[in-house]
Amino acid sequence: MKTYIYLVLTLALMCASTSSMQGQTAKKEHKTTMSTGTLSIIDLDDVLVEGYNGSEVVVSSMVAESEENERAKGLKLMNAMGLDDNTGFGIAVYQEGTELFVRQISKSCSCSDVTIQVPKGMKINVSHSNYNAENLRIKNVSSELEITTNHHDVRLEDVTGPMAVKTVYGSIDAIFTSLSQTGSVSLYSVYELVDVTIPSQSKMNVTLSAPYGSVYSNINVDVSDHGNGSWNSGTTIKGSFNGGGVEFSVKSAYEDVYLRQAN
Amino acid sequence: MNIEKIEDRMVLALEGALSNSEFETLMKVINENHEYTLIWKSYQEMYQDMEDVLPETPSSEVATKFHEWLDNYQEEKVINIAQKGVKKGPIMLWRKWAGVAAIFIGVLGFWSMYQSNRQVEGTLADMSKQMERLMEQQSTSERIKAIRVNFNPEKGDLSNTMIDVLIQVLNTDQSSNVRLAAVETLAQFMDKEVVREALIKHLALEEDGGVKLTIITILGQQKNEKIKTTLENIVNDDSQEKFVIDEAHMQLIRFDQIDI
Repeated sequence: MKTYIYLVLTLALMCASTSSMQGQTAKKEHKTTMSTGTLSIIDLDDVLVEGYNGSEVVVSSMVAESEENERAKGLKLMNAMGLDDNTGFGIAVYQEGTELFVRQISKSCSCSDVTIQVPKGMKINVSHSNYNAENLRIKNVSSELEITTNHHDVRLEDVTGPMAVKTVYGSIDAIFTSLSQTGSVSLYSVYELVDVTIPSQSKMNVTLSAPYGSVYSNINVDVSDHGNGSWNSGTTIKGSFNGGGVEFSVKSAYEDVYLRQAN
Repeated sequence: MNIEKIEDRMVLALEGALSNSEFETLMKVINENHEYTLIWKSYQEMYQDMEDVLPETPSSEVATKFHEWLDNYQEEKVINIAQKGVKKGPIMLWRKWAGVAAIFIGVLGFWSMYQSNRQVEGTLADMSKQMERLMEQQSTSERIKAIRVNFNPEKGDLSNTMIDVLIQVLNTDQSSNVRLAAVETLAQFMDKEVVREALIKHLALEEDGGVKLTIITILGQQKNEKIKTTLENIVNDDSQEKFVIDEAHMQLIRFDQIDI
Protein backbone atom coordinates (compact mmCIF):
# COMPACT_ATOMS: atom_id res chain seq x y z
CA MET A 1 0.00 0.00 0.00
CA LYS A 2 2.82 2.36 0.98
CA THR A 3 4.57 1.68 -2.29
CA TYR A 4 1.37 2.50 -4.16
CA ILE A 5 0.95 5.80 -2.31
CA TYR A 6 4.59 6.76 -2.98
CA LEU A 7 4.08 5.98 -6.66
CA VAL A 8 0.97 8.14 -6.91
CA LEU A 9 2.64 11.01 -5.06
CA THR A 10 5.73 10.80 -7.27
CA LEU A 11 3.61 10.91 -10.42
CA ALA A 12 1.62 13.87 -9.11
CA LEU A 13 4.85 15.69 -8.27
CA MET A 14 6.28 15.03 -11.74
CA CYS A 15 3.14 16.35 -13.43
CA ALA A 16 3.16 19.50 -11.30
CA SER A 17 6.84 20.07 -12.02
CA THR A 18 6.41 19.64 -15.80
CA SER A 19 3.44 21.98 -15.77
CA SER A 20 5.34 24.69 -13.91
CA MET A 21 8.36 24.29 -16.24
CA GLN A 22 6.17 24.87 -19.28
CA GLY A 23 4.31 27.74 -17.71
CA GLN A 24 0.85 28.73 -18.80
CA THR A 25 0.04 29.06 -22.45
CA ALA A 26 -2.26 31.69 -23.82
CA LYS A 27 -3.85 32.01 -27.23
CA LYS A 28 -3.00 35.23 -29.02
CA GLU A 29 -4.69 36.28 -32.23
CA HIS A 30 -4.66 39.04 -34.82
CA LYS A 31 -7.67 39.80 -37.02
CA THR A 32 -7.89 41.67 -40.32
CA THR A 33 -11.22 42.34 -41.99
CA MET A 34 -10.81 41.06 -45.55
CA SER A 35 -12.67 38.46 -47.59
CA THR A 36 -11.34 38.87 -51.15
CA GLY A 37 -7.93 39.39 -52.70
CA THR A 38 -4.81 37.40 -51.96
CA LEU A 39 -3.33 36.14 -48.71
CA SER A 40 0.46 35.85 -48.99
CA ILE A 41 2.07 33.75 -46.27
CA ILE A 42 5.83 34.22 -46.22
CA ASP A 43 8.49 32.26 -44.32
CA LEU A 44 6.22 30.72 -41.69
CA ASP A 45 8.04 27.63 -40.44
CA ASP A 46 5.08 25.67 -39.11
CA VAL A 47 1.51 26.62 -39.92
CA LEU A 48 -2.04 25.42 -40.47
CA VAL A 49 -4.05 27.41 -43.01
CA GLU A 50 -7.76 26.76 -42.85
CA GLY A 51 -10.56 28.03 -45.07
CA TYR A 52 -13.79 29.13 -43.37
CA ASN A 53 -17.00 31.04 -44.05
CA GLY A 54 -16.05 34.35 -42.51
CA SER A 55 -14.95 37.85 -43.39
CA GLU A 56 -11.75 38.16 -41.37
CA VAL A 57 -8.28 36.72 -41.72
CA VAL A 58 -7.45 35.44 -38.24
CA VAL A 59 -3.85 34.65 -37.37
CA SER A 60 -3.50 32.94 -34.01
CA SER A 61 -0.85 31.17 -31.95
CA MET A 62 -0.49 29.49 -28.58
CA VAL A 63 2.26 31.36 -26.73
CA ALA A 64 3.82 29.91 -23.58
CA GLU A 65 4.66 32.40 -20.84
CA SER A 66 8.11 30.88 -20.55
CA GLU A 67 8.75 31.74 -24.21
CA GLU A 68 7.99 35.42 -23.68
CA ASN A 69 11.04 37.63 -23.37
CA GLU A 70 10.75 39.54 -20.05
CA ARG A 71 13.40 42.03 -21.10
CA ALA A 72 11.50 42.85 -24.32
CA LYS A 73 8.25 43.68 -22.55
CA GLY A 74 6.82 46.93 -23.90
CA LEU A 75 9.06 46.69 -26.99
CA LYS A 76 8.32 45.36 -30.47
CA LEU A 77 10.34 42.83 -32.39
CA MET A 78 11.63 44.33 -35.64
CA ASN A 79 13.42 42.96 -38.68
CA ALA A 80 15.69 44.24 -41.44
CA MET A 81 12.71 44.98 -43.68
CA GLY A 82 11.45 47.43 -41.08
CA LEU A 83 8.48 45.22 -40.22
CA ASP A 84 7.03 45.16 -36.70
CA ASP A 85 5.75 42.20 -34.77
CA ASN A 86 2.16 43.42 -34.60
CA THR A 87 0.75 40.07 -33.50
CA GLY A 88 2.78 39.62 -30.34
CA PHE A 89 4.22 36.26 -31.43
CA GLY A 90 6.89 37.13 -34.00
CA ILE A 91 4.67 37.52 -37.05
CA ALA A 92 3.92 40.70 -38.98
CA VAL A 93 0.55 41.11 -40.66
CA TYR A 94 0.23 43.98 -43.13
CA GLN A 95 -1.86 44.90 -46.13
CA GLU A 96 -0.82 46.30 -49.51
CA GLY A 97 -3.76 46.96 -51.84
CA THR A 98 -5.78 43.77 -52.21
CA GLU A 99 -2.97 41.62 -50.81
CA LEU A 100 -2.60 40.71 -47.13
CA PHE A 101 0.86 39.60 -46.04
CA VAL A 102 1.54 37.33 -43.07
CA ARG A 103 5.28 37.14 -42.57
CA GLN A 104 7.42 35.55 -39.87
CA ILE A 105 9.94 38.24 -39.04
CA SER A 106 12.42 36.43 -36.85
CA LYS A 107 14.10 33.04 -36.65
CA SER A 108 13.35 32.93 -32.92
CA CYS A 109 9.60 33.17 -33.36
CA SER A 110 7.80 32.60 -30.05
CA CYS A 111 4.90 31.16 -31.98
CA SER A 112 3.70 27.60 -31.93
CA ASP A 113 0.58 26.01 -33.39
CA VAL A 114 0.15 28.97 -35.70
CA THR A 115 -3.23 28.83 -37.39
CA ILE A 116 -4.49 31.14 -40.09
CA GLN A 117 -8.20 31.16 -40.79
CA VAL A 118 -8.92 32.44 -44.28
CA PRO A 119 -12.27 33.48 -45.76
CA LYS A 120 -13.12 31.08 -48.58
CA GLY A 121 -13.04 33.66 -51.39
CA MET A 122 -9.37 34.56 -50.91
CA LYS A 123 -6.52 33.25 -53.03
CA ILE A 124 -3.66 31.80 -50.99
CA ASN A 125 0.00 32.15 -51.83
CA VAL A 126 2.61 30.46 -49.57
CA SER A 127 6.34 30.89 -50.02
CA HIS A 128 9.23 29.76 -47.83
CA SER A 129 12.92 29.45 -48.59
CA ASN A 130 14.95 28.91 -45.41
CA TYR A 131 16.01 25.70 -43.65
CA ASN A 132 13.72 25.94 -40.60
CA ALA A 133 10.58 24.64 -42.25
CA GLU A 134 8.54 21.93 -40.58
CA ASN A 135 4.92 21.34 -41.55
CA LEU A 136 2.63 23.23 -43.84
CA ARG A 137 -1.02 22.15 -43.59
CA ILE A 138 -3.73 23.54 -45.80
CA LYS A 139 -7.26 22.53 -44.96
CA ASN A 140 -10.71 23.12 -46.41
CA VAL A 141 -9.57 25.42 -49.21
CA SER A 142 -11.34 25.71 -52.56
CA SER A 143 -9.87 28.97 -53.85
CA GLU A 144 -6.68 29.18 -55.91
CA LEU A 145 -3.60 28.03 -54.02
CA GLU A 146 0.08 28.48 -54.84
CA ILE A 147 2.90 27.05 -52.73
CA THR A 148 6.63 27.43 -53.30
CA THR A 149 8.83 25.99 -50.57
CA ASN A 150 12.17 24.25 -50.24
CA HIS A 151 11.87 22.29 -46.99
CA HIS A 152 8.23 21.99 -45.90
CA ASP A 153 6.32 18.75 -45.83
CA VAL A 154 3.05 19.87 -47.40
CA ARG A 155 -0.24 18.33 -46.35
CA LEU A 156 -3.41 19.35 -48.17
CA GLU A 157 -6.74 18.22 -46.72
CA ASP A 158 -10.21 18.74 -48.16
CA VAL A 159 -8.98 20.80 -51.10
CA THR A 160 -10.39 21.10 -54.62
CA GLY A 161 -7.83 23.02 -56.69
CA PRO A 162 -6.88 24.94 -58.72
CA MET A 163 -3.38 24.85 -57.32
CA ALA A 164 0.33 24.84 -58.04
CA VAL A 165 2.48 23.28 -55.31
CA LYS A 166 6.25 22.85 -55.38
CA THR A 167 8.62 21.68 -52.64
CA VAL A 168 12.25 20.61 -52.96
CA TYR A 169 12.98 18.52 -49.85
CA GLY A 170 9.47 17.95 -48.51
CA SER A 171 6.77 15.45 -49.34
CA ILE A 172 3.28 16.30 -50.56
CA ASP A 173 0.15 14.57 -49.30
CA ALA A 174 -3.07 15.80 -50.86
CA ILE A 175 -6.65 14.73 -50.29
CA PHE A 176 -9.17 16.24 -52.69
CA THR A 177 -12.85 16.36 -51.71
CA SER A 178 -13.78 17.25 -55.30
CA LEU A 179 -11.80 18.35 -58.32
CA SER A 180 -12.34 21.87 -59.66
CA GLN A 181 -12.36 22.12 -63.46
CA THR A 182 -10.94 25.65 -63.31
CA GLY A 183 -7.28 26.31 -64.09
CA SER A 184 -4.99 23.40 -63.41
CA VAL A 185 -3.51 21.28 -60.63
CA SER A 186 0.23 20.84 -60.35
CA LEU A 187 1.95 18.99 -57.47
CA TYR A 188 5.74 18.65 -57.59
CA SER A 189 8.34 17.44 -55.11
CA VAL A 190 11.97 17.04 -56.07
CA TYR A 191 13.34 14.68 -53.41
CA GLU A 192 10.27 13.30 -51.63
CA LEU A 193 7.14 11.36 -52.47
CA VAL A 194 3.84 12.78 -53.64
CA ASP A 195 0.68 11.00 -52.47
CA VAL A 196 -2.66 12.17 -53.88
CA THR A 197 -6.21 10.99 -53.22
CA ILE A 198 -9.00 12.07 -55.56
CA PRO A 199 -12.73 11.33 -55.67
CA SER A 200 -13.60 8.50 -58.08
CA GLN A 201 -15.73 10.76 -60.32
CA SER A 202 -12.92 13.29 -60.96
CA LYS A 203 -12.51 14.31 -64.60
CA MET A 204 -8.94 15.09 -65.60
CA ASN A 205 -6.16 14.95 -68.14
CA VAL A 206 -3.45 13.48 -65.98
CA THR A 207 0.34 13.46 -66.17
CA LEU A 208 2.10 11.28 -63.59
CA SER A 209 5.85 11.52 -63.59
CA ALA A 210 8.58 9.83 -61.53
CA PRO A 211 11.83 9.95 -63.55
CA TYR A 212 13.83 8.13 -60.85
CA GLY A 213 10.95 6.49 -59.00
CA SER A 214 7.76 4.58 -59.63
CA VAL A 215 4.12 5.45 -60.07
CA TYR A 216 1.48 3.57 -58.08
CA SER A 217 -2.24 4.00 -58.64
CA ASN A 218 -5.61 2.31 -58.42
CA ILE A 219 -7.28 4.48 -61.07
CA ASN A 220 -7.77 3.41 -64.67
CA VAL A 221 -5.91 6.04 -66.65
CA ASP A 222 -6.73 5.95 -70.36
CA VAL A 223 -3.10 6.26 -71.45
CA SER A 224 -2.55 8.46 -74.51
CA ASP A 225 1.25 8.44 -74.66
CA HIS A 226 2.80 4.99 -74.28
CA GLY A 227 6.41 6.27 -74.43
CA ASN A 228 9.07 3.80 -75.46
CA GLY A 229 8.06 1.22 -72.85
CA SER A 230 11.56 1.01 -71.42
CA TRP A 231 11.75 0.73 -67.63
CA ASN A 232 15.03 2.66 -67.46
CA SER A 233 13.68 5.70 -69.28
CA GLY A 234 11.81 6.75 -66.12
CA THR A 235 8.11 6.76 -65.66
CA THR A 236 5.87 9.38 -67.20
CA ILE A 237 2.26 8.47 -67.77
CA LYS A 238 -0.03 10.74 -69.76
CA GLY A 239 -3.70 10.09 -70.23
CA SER A 240 -7.20 10.91 -69.17
CA PHE A 241 -9.49 9.79 -66.39
CA ASN A 242 -13.28 9.74 -66.69
CA GLY A 243 -13.05 11.12 -70.23
CA GLY A 244 -10.64 13.93 -69.43
CA GLY A 245 -11.02 17.34 -67.84
CA VAL A 246 -8.77 19.64 -65.86
CA GLU A 247 -4.98 19.47 -66.43
CA PHE A 248 -3.66 17.49 -63.44
CA SER A 249 0.08 16.99 -63.07
CA VAL A 250 1.82 15.02 -60.30
CA LYS A 251 5.59 14.67 -60.25
CA SER A 252 8.34 13.48 -57.94
CA ALA A 253 11.80 13.77 -59.49
CA TYR A 254 13.58 11.25 -57.23
CA GLU A 255 10.84 9.44 -55.31
CA ASP A 256 7.57 7.66 -55.94
CA VAL A 257 4.18 9.02 -56.94
CA TYR A 258 0.95 7.61 -55.50
CA LEU A 259 -2.44 8.40 -56.98
CA ARG A 260 -5.49 6.89 -55.29
CA GLN A 261 -9.20 7.20 -55.80
CA ALA A 262 -11.20 7.55 -52.62
CA ASN A 263 -13.51 4.67 -51.77
CA MET B 1 -10.18 5.26 -80.08
CA ASN B 2 -6.83 7.02 -79.76
CA ILE B 3 -6.27 10.70 -80.43
CA GLU B 4 -4.84 10.16 -83.94
CA LYS B 5 -7.93 8.24 -85.03
CA ILE B 6 -10.15 10.91 -83.53
CA GLU B 7 -8.25 13.58 -85.47
CA ASP B 8 -8.62 11.57 -88.71
CA ARG B 9 -12.36 11.38 -88.09
CA MET B 10 -12.47 15.14 -87.44
CA VAL B 11 -10.83 15.83 -90.81
CA LEU B 12 -13.31 13.50 -92.55
CA ALA B 13 -16.18 15.23 -90.76
CA LEU B 14 -15.01 18.66 -91.90
CA GLU B 15 -14.70 17.39 -95.46
CA GLY B 16 -18.26 16.06 -95.27
CA ALA B 17 -17.15 12.47 -95.73
CA LEU B 18 -18.95 11.07 -92.67
CA SER B 19 -22.49 9.76 -92.55
CA ASN B 20 -24.93 11.40 -90.14
CA SER B 21 -24.63 8.59 -87.61
CA GLU B 22 -20.83 8.61 -87.82
CA PHE B 23 -20.84 12.37 -87.37
CA GLU B 24 -23.12 12.17 -84.33
CA THR B 25 -20.95 9.47 -82.73
CA LEU B 26 -17.87 11.63 -83.29
CA MET B 27 -19.57 14.69 -81.80
CA LYS B 28 -20.48 12.66 -78.72
CA VAL B 29 -16.86 11.58 -78.23
CA ILE B 30 -15.62 15.16 -78.75
CA ASN B 31 -18.12 16.69 -76.34
CA GLU B 32 -17.14 14.26 -73.61
CA ASN B 33 -13.49 15.20 -73.75
CA HIS B 34 -12.15 18.71 -73.13
CA GLU B 35 -8.95 18.13 -75.07
CA TYR B 36 -10.82 16.71 -78.08
CA THR B 37 -13.13 19.74 -77.96
CA LEU B 38 -10.12 22.08 -78.20
CA ILE B 39 -8.63 20.08 -81.09
CA TRP B 40 -12.01 20.05 -82.89
CA LYS B 41 -12.28 23.84 -82.52
CA SER B 42 -8.77 24.37 -83.89
CA TYR B 43 -9.58 22.14 -86.91
CA GLN B 44 -12.81 24.05 -87.48
CA GLU B 45 -10.94 27.37 -87.36
CA MET B 46 -8.29 26.05 -89.76
CA TYR B 47 -10.92 24.92 -92.27
CA GLN B 48 -12.76 28.22 -91.89
CA ASP B 49 -9.51 30.09 -92.61
CA MET B 50 -9.00 27.97 -95.73
CA GLU B 51 -12.52 28.76 -96.92
CA ASP B 52 -12.02 32.44 -96.26
CA VAL B 53 -9.16 32.69 -98.77
CA LEU B 54 -10.45 34.80 -101.68
CA PRO B 55 -10.78 32.95 -105.02
CA GLU B 56 -7.90 33.86 -107.31
CA THR B 57 -10.09 34.94 -110.27
CA PRO B 58 -9.01 37.99 -112.27
CA SER B 59 -11.55 40.79 -112.53
CA SER B 60 -13.78 40.89 -115.62
CA GLU B 61 -11.95 44.01 -116.84
CA VAL B 62 -8.55 42.27 -116.65
CA ALA B 63 -10.00 39.17 -118.35
CA THR B 64 -11.54 41.21 -121.19
CA LYS B 65 -8.30 43.13 -121.80
CA PHE B 66 -6.34 39.91 -121.76
CA HIS B 67 -8.64 38.34 -124.37
CA GLU B 68 -8.50 41.46 -126.55
CA TRP B 69 -4.72 41.45 -126.37
CA LEU B 70 -4.68 37.74 -127.16
CA ASP B 71 -6.89 38.25 -130.23
CA ASN B 72 -4.68 41.09 -131.53
CA TYR B 73 -1.57 39.06 -130.84
CA GLN B 74 -2.98 36.15 -132.84
CA GLU B 75 -3.88 38.39 -135.82
CA GLU B 76 -0.41 39.98 -135.87
CA LYS B 77 1.27 36.61 -135.82
CA VAL B 78 -0.88 35.29 -138.65
CA ILE B 79 0.09 38.30 -140.75
CA ASN B 80 3.78 38.06 -139.88
CA ILE B 81 3.99 34.41 -140.70
CA ALA B 82 2.20 34.94 -144.00
CA GLN B 83 4.66 37.69 -144.92
CA LYS B 84 7.63 35.42 -144.39
CA GLY B 85 6.07 32.82 -146.62
CA VAL B 86 5.87 30.24 -143.95
CA LYS B 87 3.02 27.85 -144.23
CA LYS B 88 0.01 29.42 -142.62
CA GLY B 89 -1.53 27.29 -139.91
CA PRO B 90 -3.03 27.46 -136.45
CA ILE B 91 -0.53 25.14 -134.65
CA MET B 92 2.23 27.68 -133.92
CA LEU B 93 -0.34 30.22 -132.77
CA TRP B 94 -1.96 27.71 -130.50
CA ARG B 95 1.45 26.94 -128.92
CA LYS B 96 2.14 30.61 -128.31
CA TRP B 97 -1.29 31.08 -126.82
CA ALA B 98 -0.77 28.03 -124.58
CA GLY B 99 2.62 29.39 -123.50
CA VAL B 100 1.15 32.69 -122.48
CA ALA B 101 -1.66 30.93 -120.65
CA ALA B 102 0.88 28.72 -118.86
CA ILE B 103 2.84 31.80 -117.73
CA PHE B 104 -0.41 33.39 -116.59
CA ILE B 105 -1.38 30.27 -114.64
CA GLY B 106 2.12 30.06 -113.17
CA VAL B 107 1.94 33.66 -111.97
CA LEU B 108 -1.46 32.97 -110.45
CA GLY B 109 -0.07 29.83 -108.77
CA PHE B 110 2.82 31.74 -107.22
CA TRP B 111 0.49 34.50 -106.12
CA SER B 112 -1.81 31.92 -104.56
CA MET B 113 1.11 30.27 -102.73
CA TYR B 114 2.28 33.66 -101.51
CA GLN B 115 -1.19 34.45 -100.19
CA SER B 116 -1.42 31.05 -98.55
CA ASN B 117 1.97 31.48 -96.85
CA ARG B 118 0.94 34.90 -95.64
CA GLN B 119 -2.22 33.34 -94.25
CA VAL B 120 -0.23 30.63 -92.38
CA GLU B 121 2.19 33.22 -91.05
CA GLY B 122 -0.76 35.32 -89.98
CA THR B 123 -2.35 32.36 -88.21
CA LEU B 124 0.92 31.58 -86.37
CA ALA B 125 1.27 35.21 -85.37
CA ASP B 126 -2.32 35.18 -84.14
CA MET B 127 -1.62 32.02 -82.12
CA SER B 128 1.44 33.52 -80.47
CA LYS B 129 -0.46 36.74 -79.73
CA GLN B 130 -3.29 34.67 -78.26
CA MET B 131 -0.72 32.79 -76.16
CA GLU B 132 0.80 36.07 -74.96
CA ARG B 133 -2.67 37.19 -73.89
CA LEU B 134 -3.23 33.91 -72.04
CA MET B 135 0.06 34.37 -70.22
CA GLU B 136 -1.07 37.78 -68.97
CA GLN B 137 -3.80 36.17 -66.85
CA GLN B 138 -3.49 36.77 -63.12
CA SER B 139 -4.20 33.19 -62.16
CA THR B 140 -1.09 31.02 -61.84
CA SER B 141 -2.98 27.80 -62.49
CA GLU B 142 -4.55 29.29 -65.66
CA ARG B 143 -1.10 30.24 -66.97
CA ILE B 144 0.19 26.74 -66.25
CA LYS B 145 -2.85 25.32 -68.05
CA ALA B 146 -2.16 27.57 -71.06
CA ILE B 147 1.37 26.14 -71.26
CA ARG B 148 0.33 22.52 -70.85
CA VAL B 149 -2.50 22.70 -73.40
CA ASN B 150 -0.90 24.91 -76.08
CA PHE B 151 2.62 23.47 -76.01
CA ASN B 152 1.80 19.81 -76.32
CA PRO B 153 4.50 18.17 -78.50
CA GLU B 154 2.07 15.33 -79.28
CA LYS B 155 0.21 17.82 -81.47
CA GLY B 156 3.25 18.40 -83.66
CA ASP B 157 6.29 20.63 -83.80
CA LEU B 158 6.01 24.20 -82.55
CA SER B 159 6.77 27.30 -84.57
CA ASN B 160 9.78 29.40 -83.56
CA THR B 161 7.41 32.21 -82.61
CA MET B 162 5.64 29.99 -80.09
CA ILE B 163 9.00 28.80 -78.69
CA ASP B 164 9.98 32.47 -78.28
CA VAL B 165 6.78 33.10 -76.31
CA LEU B 166 7.61 30.23 -73.98
CA ILE B 167 11.19 31.47 -73.48
CA GLN B 168 9.75 34.91 -72.70
CA VAL B 169 7.51 33.29 -70.05
CA LEU B 170 10.54 31.54 -68.55
CA ASN B 171 12.46 34.80 -68.32
CA THR B 172 9.69 37.05 -67.03
CA ASP B 173 6.90 35.21 -65.19
CA GLN B 174 6.82 36.03 -61.48
CA SER B 175 5.57 32.61 -60.40
CA SER B 176 8.24 29.92 -60.02
CA ASN B 177 5.52 27.31 -60.59
CA VAL B 178 4.79 28.82 -64.02
CA ARG B 179 8.50 29.04 -64.84
CA LEU B 180 8.85 25.39 -63.84
CA ALA B 181 6.04 24.43 -66.23
CA ALA B 182 7.81 26.42 -68.97
CA VAL B 183 11.10 24.62 -68.29
CA GLU B 184 9.46 21.19 -68.34
CA THR B 185 7.76 22.02 -71.63
CA LEU B 186 10.89 23.49 -73.23
CA ALA B 187 12.69 20.28 -72.23
CA GLN B 188 10.67 18.52 -74.92
CA PHE B 189 12.25 20.71 -77.61
CA MET B 190 15.90 20.29 -76.65
CA ASP B 191 16.79 19.48 -80.26
CA LYS B 192 16.42 23.23 -80.94
CA GLU B 193 19.58 25.27 -80.37
CA VAL B 194 17.53 28.29 -79.29
CA VAL B 195 15.97 26.27 -76.43
CA ARG B 196 19.33 24.95 -75.15
CA GLU B 197 20.80 28.46 -75.25
CA ALA B 198 17.79 29.93 -73.45
CA LEU B 199 17.98 27.39 -70.62
CA ILE B 200 21.72 27.91 -70.14
CA LYS B 201 21.27 31.70 -70.04
CA HIS B 202 18.29 31.49 -67.71
CA LEU B 203 20.17 29.30 -65.23
CA ALA B 204 22.34 32.27 -64.26
CA LEU B 205 19.28 34.44 -63.62
CA GLU B 206 16.91 31.99 -61.91
CA GLU B 207 16.41 32.51 -58.18
CA ASP B 208 14.19 29.58 -57.34
CA GLY B 209 16.09 26.44 -56.29
CA GLY B 210 13.46 24.02 -57.59
CA VAL B 211 13.47 25.58 -61.07
CA LYS B 212 17.29 25.68 -61.15
CA LEU B 213 17.42 22.03 -60.17
CA THR B 214 15.07 21.04 -62.98
CA ILE B 215 17.08 23.00 -65.58
CA ILE B 216 20.31 21.38 -64.43
CA THR B 217 18.78 17.89 -64.65
CA ILE B 218 17.49 18.61 -68.17
CA LEU B 219 20.77 20.12 -69.38
CA GLY B 220 22.69 17.22 -67.84
CA GLN B 221 20.93 14.88 -70.24
CA GLN B 222 22.45 16.70 -73.23
CA LYS B 223 25.82 15.86 -74.70
CA ASN B 224 27.18 19.35 -75.05
CA GLU B 225 30.56 20.83 -73.98
CA LYS B 226 29.04 24.28 -73.34
CA ILE B 227 26.61 22.75 -70.83
CA LYS B 228 29.50 21.03 -69.07
CA THR B 229 31.18 24.40 -68.54
CA THR B 230 27.94 25.85 -67.15
CA LEU B 231 27.63 22.96 -64.69
CA GLU B 232 31.27 23.38 -63.59
CA ASN B 233 30.60 27.07 -62.90
CA ILE B 234 27.66 26.16 -60.68
CA VAL B 235 29.69 23.58 -58.73
CA ASN B 236 32.34 26.25 -58.04
CA ASP B 237 29.81 28.92 -57.03
CA ASP B 238 29.43 28.99 -53.23
CA SER B 239 26.42 31.29 -53.41
CA GLN B 240 24.28 28.50 -54.89
CA GLU B 241 22.07 26.36 -52.64
CA LYS B 242 23.68 23.09 -51.57
CA PHE B 243 21.12 20.94 -53.38
CA VAL B 244 21.73 22.90 -56.60
CA ILE B 245 25.49 22.33 -56.35
CA ASP B 246 24.92 18.63 -55.55
CA GLU B 247 22.70 18.21 -58.61
CA ALA B 248 25.21 19.98 -60.89
CA HIS B 249 27.94 17.75 -59.49
CA MET B 250 25.87 14.65 -60.11
CA GLN B 251 25.22 15.67 -63.71
CA LEU B 252 28.96 16.34 -64.20
CA ILE B 253 29.70 12.81 -63.05
CA ARG B 254 27.21 11.62 -65.68
CA PHE B 255 29.03 13.75 -68.26
CA ASP B 256 32.34 12.13 -67.43
CA GLN B 257 30.79 8.71 -67.93
CA ILE B 258 29.67 9.46 -71.48
CA ASP B 259 31.66 10.51 -74.49
CA ILE B 260 30.93 14.02 -75.65
